[in-house]
Amino acid sequence: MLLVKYGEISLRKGNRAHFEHQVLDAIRARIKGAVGGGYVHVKREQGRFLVENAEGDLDVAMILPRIKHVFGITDFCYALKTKVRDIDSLSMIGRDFFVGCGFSDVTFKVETKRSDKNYPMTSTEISTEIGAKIFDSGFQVDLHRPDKTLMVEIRNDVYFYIESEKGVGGLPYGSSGRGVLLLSGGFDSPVAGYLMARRGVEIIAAYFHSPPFVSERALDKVRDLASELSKYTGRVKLYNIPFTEIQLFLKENVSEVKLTIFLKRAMLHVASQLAEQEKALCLITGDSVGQVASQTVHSLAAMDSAAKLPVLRPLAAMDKQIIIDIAREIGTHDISIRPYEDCCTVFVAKHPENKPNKGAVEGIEARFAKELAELVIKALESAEVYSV
Amino acid sequence: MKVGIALLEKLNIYFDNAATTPALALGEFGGGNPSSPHGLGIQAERALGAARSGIACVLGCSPGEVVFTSGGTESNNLAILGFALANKRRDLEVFAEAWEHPSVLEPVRAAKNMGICGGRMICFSHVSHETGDIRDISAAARAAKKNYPDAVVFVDGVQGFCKEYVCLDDVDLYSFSGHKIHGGSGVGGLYVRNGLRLIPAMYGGGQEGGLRAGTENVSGIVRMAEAAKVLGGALSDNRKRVSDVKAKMMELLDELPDVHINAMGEDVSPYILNMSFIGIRGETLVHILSEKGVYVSMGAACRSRSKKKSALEEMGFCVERAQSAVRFSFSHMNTVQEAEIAKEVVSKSVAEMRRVLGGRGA
Repeated sequence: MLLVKYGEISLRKGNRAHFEHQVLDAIRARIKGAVGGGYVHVKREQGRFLVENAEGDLDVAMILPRIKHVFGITDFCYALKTKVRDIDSLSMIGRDFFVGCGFSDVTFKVETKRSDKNYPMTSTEISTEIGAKIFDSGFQVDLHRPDKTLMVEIRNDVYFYIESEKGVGGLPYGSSGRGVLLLSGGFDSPVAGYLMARRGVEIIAAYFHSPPFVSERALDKVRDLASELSKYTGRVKLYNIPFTEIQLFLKENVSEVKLTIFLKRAMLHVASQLAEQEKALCLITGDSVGQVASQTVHSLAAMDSAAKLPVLRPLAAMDKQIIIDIAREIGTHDISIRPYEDCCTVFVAKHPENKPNKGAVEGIEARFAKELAELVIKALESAEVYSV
Repeated sequence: MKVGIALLEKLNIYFDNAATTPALALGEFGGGNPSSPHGLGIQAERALGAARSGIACVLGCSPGEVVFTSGGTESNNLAILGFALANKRRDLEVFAEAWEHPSVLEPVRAAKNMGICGGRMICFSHVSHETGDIRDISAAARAAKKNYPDAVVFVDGVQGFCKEYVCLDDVDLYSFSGHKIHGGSGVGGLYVRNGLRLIPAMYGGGQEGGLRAGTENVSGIVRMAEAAKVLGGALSDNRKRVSDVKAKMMELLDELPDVHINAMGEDVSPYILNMSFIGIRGETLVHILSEKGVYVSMGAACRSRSKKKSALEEMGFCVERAQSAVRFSFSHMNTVQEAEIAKEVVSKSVAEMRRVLGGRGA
């Protein structure tokens, strides 16, 4: 069987049960589809979950990959439950369990928790007894910094478990409200979406499409990215928002060096409206400070007044390499490298302004605010929605 | 005839025939492995033999000089790598212009990287896939051999086969492909001059004179040969038809300002028309036209994404012109009426785009 630990959730006093159930549901939903798993049940017990089947021979290798990415889980432990209580048998079982985990060349220690105080030995005595058996099988003891710790818990039943694999941590998906993610085809925005989702924010994705300046394939690419994210989150709602008209309108009305700032402001306008429609409470972008001209702090300052909600930028402080590493880890990298342009790269000036003045930008926008607002509404009305 | 473009149903005009052509409806081949000893195998072998003779007839070579492959890319690889491997112990010099097709340039690069280069080879295409420029291949081959008597001349014939007359005098290798001549994809071939030694790309049952092991794609080969027969037989009629289509499209030169035809020389294939509409990226125009049901391609589709210069830039055209290039490529199945409609669609789209892009900062 598998023992699942969750970290931060247990710190939430009032909402703890609610959070626990959100993770539990996520685990159950992912196990349900498991082929040939038989009936697997998941139960909550003393601040952790137990995943097991009736026969007690759960195929951990099959279950683990399915639930590895559930947000809120910190650790997975291979575990074993037995009704046997005499110390000789327990030592044998403990040893076989440890050896059976297949570690090689690791140091270990045994740690015992004795909830059942009627058990005739102390925790230290039990640990020593079982540890001796494992030592005999050729493993070195290290009481201070062991590579692996075999946990033994004496309750009505006896449990053995070993922390085996890290979970992704975070908070249960959807527990922190909803946000609109501005999703392009690049490396950054999917990573930003993933990071916020991991903090419990439910993602509504918004993609700005500019035919004929970008290929229909760019849309496919974004759909594939959203589908990759949905592996962590469950189904993602993706809005495909036609942006060409706004883009051409802005091109007419502002100078080329400032165009990008205004384009991004327009996106924030649209995303804010969408957030209202979707009852979302924040916007999420993949901006990383200083990465390009429109991501300097000056630029960010000049664009944020377009947003009616807080704009969360989880990548603000990250270097590109770190972002790419995360993209690799979560599987969006190979989709993001597909070579289709997004709408921002089409009309870009050779040297766009990198220190725009907030007041000036707002002043210019005020001149055509009404027309722009109409275009924003129109764009949103003609958006297509996919469930990916 | 004046044709409006406000047609109710979407247009479907395919002017991207240099990328691929729709397969002609041709008879299906019954089945059988040409290497099998039984009756069905013998039938297959005969069908294969007939196809080989048919192709040889179009090329003007002997059937034994035709090797069937899976397509143009494989043929080009077999020619270049096969030659490099066969001449391992000599210094290699391969001449190929930087605007040739990637299936020529990449094997050349691979051969150099693997250090298996040997001998002297001169590669050029019969018809440029970018601009349609035609090379008089036998004259070019003769000139090359005058300067380098030991050189081997390889012609990438993919865009020329069954569209231009082929004269293989002094040419040692000539590649061709099925799907560029309405013969279906996944099949092609290579002319290998009698006596020229290549090292095979694949080893196995020794098919195709040992140069390309593996059971032949008989049905594909038969279909390609049929198509070659149809197209090869009507070569000059087709050229005339296609010339009219191209001429119609070329009227755009008079209708719009800032339009250029991209070609290096005077002798250009009627099947290909490469034009630049200055101020509009080729990619954008391709998408607009596709939206309206006119299918064309960018000037340099195969490597438009790489950091390398585009083929047009390599030919000496300026960036502006290279970026705004669009390639129209025709087939004998296209009509002047289609060109008339397409021309109007292009003309309106370009004017419209130039108008919207013409604002401040353009």
